[in-house]
Amino acid sequence: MKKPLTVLAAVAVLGGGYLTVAHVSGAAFWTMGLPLGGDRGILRRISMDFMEDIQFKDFVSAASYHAPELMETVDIPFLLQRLFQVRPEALDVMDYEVVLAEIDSSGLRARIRMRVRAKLLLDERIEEREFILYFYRDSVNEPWYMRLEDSLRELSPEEGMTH
Amino acid sequence: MSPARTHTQILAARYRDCLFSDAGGLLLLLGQAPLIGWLCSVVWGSIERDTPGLYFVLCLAAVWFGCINACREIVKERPILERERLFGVRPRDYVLSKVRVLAGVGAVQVVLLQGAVEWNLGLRGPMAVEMLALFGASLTGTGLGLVVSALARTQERAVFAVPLLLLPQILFSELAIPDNLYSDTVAVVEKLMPVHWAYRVFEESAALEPRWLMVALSFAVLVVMAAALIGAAMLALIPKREIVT
Repeated sequence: MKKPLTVLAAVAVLGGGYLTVAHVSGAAFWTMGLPLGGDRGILRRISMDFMEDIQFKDFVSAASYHAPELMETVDIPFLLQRLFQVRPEALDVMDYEVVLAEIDSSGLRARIRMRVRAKLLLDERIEEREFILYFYRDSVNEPWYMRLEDSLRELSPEEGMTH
Repeated sequence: MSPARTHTQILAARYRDCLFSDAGGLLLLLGQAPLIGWLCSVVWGSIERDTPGLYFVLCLAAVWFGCINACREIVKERPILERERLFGVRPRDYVLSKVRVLAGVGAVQVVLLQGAVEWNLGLRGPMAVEMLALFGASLTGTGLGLVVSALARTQERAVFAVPLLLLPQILFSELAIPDNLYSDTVAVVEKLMPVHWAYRVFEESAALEPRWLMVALSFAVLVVMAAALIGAAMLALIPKREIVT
């Protein structure tokens, strides 16, 4: 009876310790689907959801991480094309991960460095790219919004310049 | 239960108790891993990405941990071992008891080492595979340390021997010169280095198209190396001349 209890206690302590570490690290480790990690955890999850949307070419959902007034203007396919130099339909996002998550001293701005591995379907080449997603919020009680409008805004014909 | 297994278990339990009774020493042993990991994350955090150099340092650190953990563990108990040999304790049981406990310490160190790096900087490749490679490197380092400990006459000599075993790991690596410039001898010697095989796991699992067969081969080589070194430590403890009572 004593041995199973000891094993159970050890598992509970180790599990609790692991989840504490996962939380304090800002969800740098697998959180078993639990909403841990504070703000950095939230940002990691938003970034991963954003990449999943891109992986499945759901650009409307991918745009929903931006502020409501900017959702209409963000052009995710353009970002992909600029990043990989191919049209989004010729791109198969295979794998993605968060390299680094950082929040500034005010707690209102954040950046998430992402690493994406994708296959360029035209020539079956696999390439890896890193890019940074920027986030902001107006106060610590507000939700985080992605700030890609500068790089992702759809260019109007008047602005038609090369990138 | 066979007598050999009982001996190993009893010796391992005693060694574990000794280790836990020195909480300060154990903390120091375990604390060096997250410290090295944190230092790595500070250095590579400045470029915000992992590089092959980071993989090499992690693998070298794992071998170092295993080696330094084990290098004094036999030589410091030599008189006890000699006495217990008279009561039927065999070198095999004795060495296996050390391996059992030191493998556990090595596993904790490896988790802390990689955890400290991944805390700040996500490494390429699956974390579990890389952690297993570091554990393989640590186990091989433990074997190396046990051989040194079995051969050394004093603890000081055992500790002095550790850098002599670790420096070649750096010299015979891609960190010293690019591998396409190796002479045949250097290429062969490099393959005898445990760090090389752990590094291969990192390199392959971080590649755009990992060759998992090569990863499996590297693991197999690490296991064979660890087993061979542990066997060598057992052989080194076999007395040259049996004592007849």
